[in-house]
Amino acid sequence: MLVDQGDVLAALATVHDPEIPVLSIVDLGLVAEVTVDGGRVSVDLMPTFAACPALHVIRQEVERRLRDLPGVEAVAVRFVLEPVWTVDRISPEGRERLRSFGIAFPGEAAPPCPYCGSTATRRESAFGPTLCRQVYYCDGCRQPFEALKAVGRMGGGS
Amino acid sequence: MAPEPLVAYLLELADDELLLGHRHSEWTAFAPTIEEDVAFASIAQDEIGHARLFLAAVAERTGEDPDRLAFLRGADARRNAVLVELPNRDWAFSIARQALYDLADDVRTEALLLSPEPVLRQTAALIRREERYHLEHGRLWVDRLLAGSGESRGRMATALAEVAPQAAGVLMPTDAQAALHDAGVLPVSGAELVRRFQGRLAAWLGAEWAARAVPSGDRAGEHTPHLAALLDQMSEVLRLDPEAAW
Repeated sequence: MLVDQGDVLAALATVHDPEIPVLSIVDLGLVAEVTVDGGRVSVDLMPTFAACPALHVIRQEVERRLRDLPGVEAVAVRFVLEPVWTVDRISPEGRERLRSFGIAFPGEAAPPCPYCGSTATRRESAFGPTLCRQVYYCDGCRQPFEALKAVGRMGGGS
Repeated sequence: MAPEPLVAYLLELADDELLLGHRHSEWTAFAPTIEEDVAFASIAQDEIGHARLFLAAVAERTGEDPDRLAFLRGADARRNAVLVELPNRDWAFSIARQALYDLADDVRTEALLLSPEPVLRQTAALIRREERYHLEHGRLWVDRLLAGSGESRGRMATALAEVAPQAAGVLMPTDAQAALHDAGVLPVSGAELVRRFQGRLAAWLGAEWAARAVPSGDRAGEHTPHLAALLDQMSEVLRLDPEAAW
């Protein structure tokens, strides 16, 4: 039985970010390239933040899921420096799931509150509980919330 | 035997980021506000991540182990800027160091974007996405403390006066950098990087501060005694059992 690109991508869509479990690595746009050569599969992933501890977990999980696929004999997973991941690689579905999880997607201005939808929000700190997140406050429902950092989006958005 | 210039330069970059990351991490649980505790911890983590990228690039070329390169090289082998090894003192010093180091690093990595060497160009592009938040953080705090009460202003001015020449010193060329510049691998000379740093300082804090940023603390391997103490502390756990698997 031969494995194909579709099988590999379907398996990658079951690997979730341990720090944002509603998002798969496909939603996140981490997959740069998938190569299938007979039973040998290689996957290139883009690191999000250089020091993100989730990357190790993601690599192990990708290796495990791919080795479990019928027809796969060898798996190679690499993190590549190019292309560079940016926040805009997150899929539209991923952005919506992120919002339902309570994390706003960064926009051109301060993002709307993921809880009440108010646009009366302001940033409290550029640094949050993980490297990829910053902390906002909603004047509408008077709650703090988190938004992703707008990494890779030079000049626009906060 | 001296390492080839690219490897030596990658180690210079790695040591700057690793040691400053460690110094920043010393604020964890001690910063003046919880937001700053998180900010310094995050900036520290970012810088150590950048060091890891540079050490991985060294490891690819020499076959050495990145952890051993990070922790088990002695003070004599380090080519970091003196600025990053100095102990934290008051909050103003740490803010001045974070702000001005990251400004110097911004000038340095901006120039690396034009390098024909892929590992330098690509790593610079990756880390600059994160650094914009560091720059913003440092600038905000320096401005805030300079606009504060007499004591706040005084401490910030004292810290800037000490840090400005040392931060310019981050950009002082080493032999490895000079060789890479001659070979076209580093498109911008160290002297030009220092001029750009002074220009950025002038545009931000004014010409009088830029005039103080005359490089000191060369990177030729002269260190303060603080470096050996810092390395001793950083490698304490690894030295207990260098062969342990983590």
